Amino acid sequence: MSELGSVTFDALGTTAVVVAAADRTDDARAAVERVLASIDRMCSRFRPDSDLSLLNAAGGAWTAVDPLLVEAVDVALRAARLTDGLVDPTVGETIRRIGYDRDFLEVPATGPASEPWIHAPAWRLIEVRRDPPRVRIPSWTQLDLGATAKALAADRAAEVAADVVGVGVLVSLGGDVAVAGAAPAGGWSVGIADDHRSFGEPGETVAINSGGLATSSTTVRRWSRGGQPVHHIVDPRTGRSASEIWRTVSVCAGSCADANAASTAAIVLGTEAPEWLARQGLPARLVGRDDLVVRVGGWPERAVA
Amino acid sequence: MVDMRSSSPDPADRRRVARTRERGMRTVSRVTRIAVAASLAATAVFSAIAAIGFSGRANASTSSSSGTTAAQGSSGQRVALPPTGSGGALTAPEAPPVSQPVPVGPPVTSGGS
Repeated sequence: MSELGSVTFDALGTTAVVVAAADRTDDARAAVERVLASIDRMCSRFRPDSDLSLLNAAGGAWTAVDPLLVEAVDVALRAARLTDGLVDPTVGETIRRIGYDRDFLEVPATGPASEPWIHAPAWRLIEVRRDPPRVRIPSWTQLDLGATAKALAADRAAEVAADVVGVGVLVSLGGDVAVAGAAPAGGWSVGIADDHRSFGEPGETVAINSGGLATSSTTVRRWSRGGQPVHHIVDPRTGRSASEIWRTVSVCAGSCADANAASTAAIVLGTEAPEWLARQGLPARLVGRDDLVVRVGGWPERAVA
Repeated sequence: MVDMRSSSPDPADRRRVARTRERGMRTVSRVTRIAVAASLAATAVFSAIAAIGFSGRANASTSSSSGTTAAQGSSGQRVALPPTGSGGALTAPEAPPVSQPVPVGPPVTSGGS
């Protein structure tokens, strides 16, 4: 592969990075943007015209949706099932009640406390049909596909862009990384940090050749309610932000969607996360509040220059 | 006056009638057995065709009462199964990541967002 180039732009309420052969980055970006626009049009809970918003407002009725939303719901349900509900797409109402009810940049930094909203695991009640594509959710719940849809978007965007430009492509959406096509010699280089915006800061770097790498962190998207810190990763079992046992969890998997499901579940699981990740056979790096780093599943020790 | 004897068949006629009736009964029995066997065979063939052509899909809710980690209220609720073809476990990467002393190529960071 020739010299790599990259482009960075805003998308899906976060930062998108596309890496490909330097002379193909513009074409790769165009392909990625088309995919992201489709995902946003179907899966955003902040767009009143999105298929997801129509489904959330349907009052429990069957709703005709785009096949892309069906796929996004499928991915979310797969994450819920394989994490025993720790990653639950029906936490939308919980997230809204703890204050994240609009684009994050517009969420007030402080506000009154709210009662925790603990619901039965409503993801089990979601019904999906494919011909014609339609979805039904309980009237008392709201879908939030934020995490899994972003990872799905990275997977799809990387695949589509690699097909279009005919070379390997890396797509990062807010730190959820997916790669497709031929990898460069030595693999795709990815830095690991608490915040995906930490470009160039000293830290650990790994290389991957396929699949995806996702990082979940309790150090970002934080605000305060009732004088208590709140963050965006919700524990469906408590109706509150997950306990901050781990500051950051990074996971490698066969796809970005699976990596994202595992890293989010690990944050929610807390102290049991390393053993759970090892049982899944997933390489992972967990950073505790005290900066202690735990590596499982073949995640490498940090190389020293 | 009617001669009643003239209306009674002779023994040879009765035997012929009996043989004819038995042949008819055997024919009906054979036809019935063939029809039942053909029906069963046709049922099996059509069932096989239907099973192959319209195999079950896991896109609808089904019953479950299994408990989970997040099991509040889960008893007796329906489970939305994953799409056909999805695996039963999160997929591991083809190879674990390799540590690099310094980044190579454009900066990409995996971190919280």
